[in-house]
Amino acid sequence: MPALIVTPDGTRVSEKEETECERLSKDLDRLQRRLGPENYRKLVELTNTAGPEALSVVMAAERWVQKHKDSLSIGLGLTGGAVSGAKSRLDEFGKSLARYEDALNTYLLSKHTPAAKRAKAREAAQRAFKDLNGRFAAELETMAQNSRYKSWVHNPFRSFAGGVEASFNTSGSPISSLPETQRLNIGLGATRILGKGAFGLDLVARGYRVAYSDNKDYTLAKEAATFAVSGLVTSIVVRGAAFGLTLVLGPSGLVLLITLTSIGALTAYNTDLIARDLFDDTAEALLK
Amino acid sequence: MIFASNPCDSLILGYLIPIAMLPLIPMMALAYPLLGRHFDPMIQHRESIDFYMGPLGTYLIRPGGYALFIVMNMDWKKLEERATRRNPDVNPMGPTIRTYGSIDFKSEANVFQIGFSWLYILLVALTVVLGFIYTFCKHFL
Repeated sequence: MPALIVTPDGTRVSEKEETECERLSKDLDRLQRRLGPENYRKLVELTNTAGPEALSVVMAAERWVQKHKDSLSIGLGLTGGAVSGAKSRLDEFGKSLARYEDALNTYLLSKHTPAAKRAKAREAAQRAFKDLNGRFAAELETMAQNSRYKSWVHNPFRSFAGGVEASFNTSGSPISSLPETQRLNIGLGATRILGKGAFGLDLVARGYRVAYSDNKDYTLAKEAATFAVSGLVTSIVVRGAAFGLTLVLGPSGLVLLITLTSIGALTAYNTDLIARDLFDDTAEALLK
Repeated sequence: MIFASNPCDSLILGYLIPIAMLPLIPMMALAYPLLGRHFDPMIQHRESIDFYMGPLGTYLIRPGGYALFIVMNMDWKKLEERATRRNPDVNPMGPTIRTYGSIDFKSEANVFQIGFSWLYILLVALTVVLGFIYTFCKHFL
């Protein structure tokens, strides 16, 4: 099969894009059937304006807020409610975002309403945007900085943080300057360092075992195989335990963290032990 | 027949260990072409840590996760509801649900993928059980 497909109008698309286009067009057909022709036409008109891009930026911002709320709440057990300040600030940010999204939605949907009503909706959207941009400029800047878009031009948050290129390199976020958030960051950083430290120590130990063994090829194969097996088994077990615990008991915070860590550590140790022995036995049986 | 010598001197353990664990190695090699390449392009928001682990995530962790999702036939709505039942603001499953929750894994998978996933997860589960028995034999008996 060719890797590139040439469409009737001469553009070349990859196979992957082709299948994605097919899936998308099927979805659109289904949508058209469900909405009826008149509503579908309105929807197409709506998507041809600049609106959806703005909405997708708002939705990305909402995901950002939710993500930070989650990371704060996972760390809540560690610092014992010290994050409430940062959290209420995030809550306010989320509410302001939601207000802006509502206003923007109203404005976008007012395309077929009288001009006066539309102007009113636009004013409301502008006011909501001003409120958002004025009160949460620092968060919006942090968002723009932390997003994975390398180039400022392709950054979807630029519409929020427009005209802030000058202060782009200074952090200045109220969230990160709160003392409780700093303490929380230290706690989360410690957890991260401890986790990575255990992982790194394991890798170093494996490296030493390979470097100081009499049969380097054999030991390297053994270490790699046992690392892969125990990593795979541990990841599946920890994920299954997280889902199972959440569905049955619903613990959160430190309880969940400690339970999953101990389950993971035990599984990794057991699996590594048994895989090591199996490797030796198999090699002995095969190489005899 | 490969027999794994074990501290319990158990016949069933010695035969079960290779039966459970040796197929895992070819299955690990098959998991990416069978599961990873199919499900990876469907993920829209890459928030889960699985996407930031390099080749380890691509070839080992994510395909294993997809196998688990197919077998568990996860009801994402129920999971989110349970995860936020105590406190609607606290959702420790949030990143996972936002990454994988938009996909109904079982209905997206074909019969080969379902069969492969069941075997994969079954062998992993057996490995865990055997591992605990083995460690018990080694340290406590």
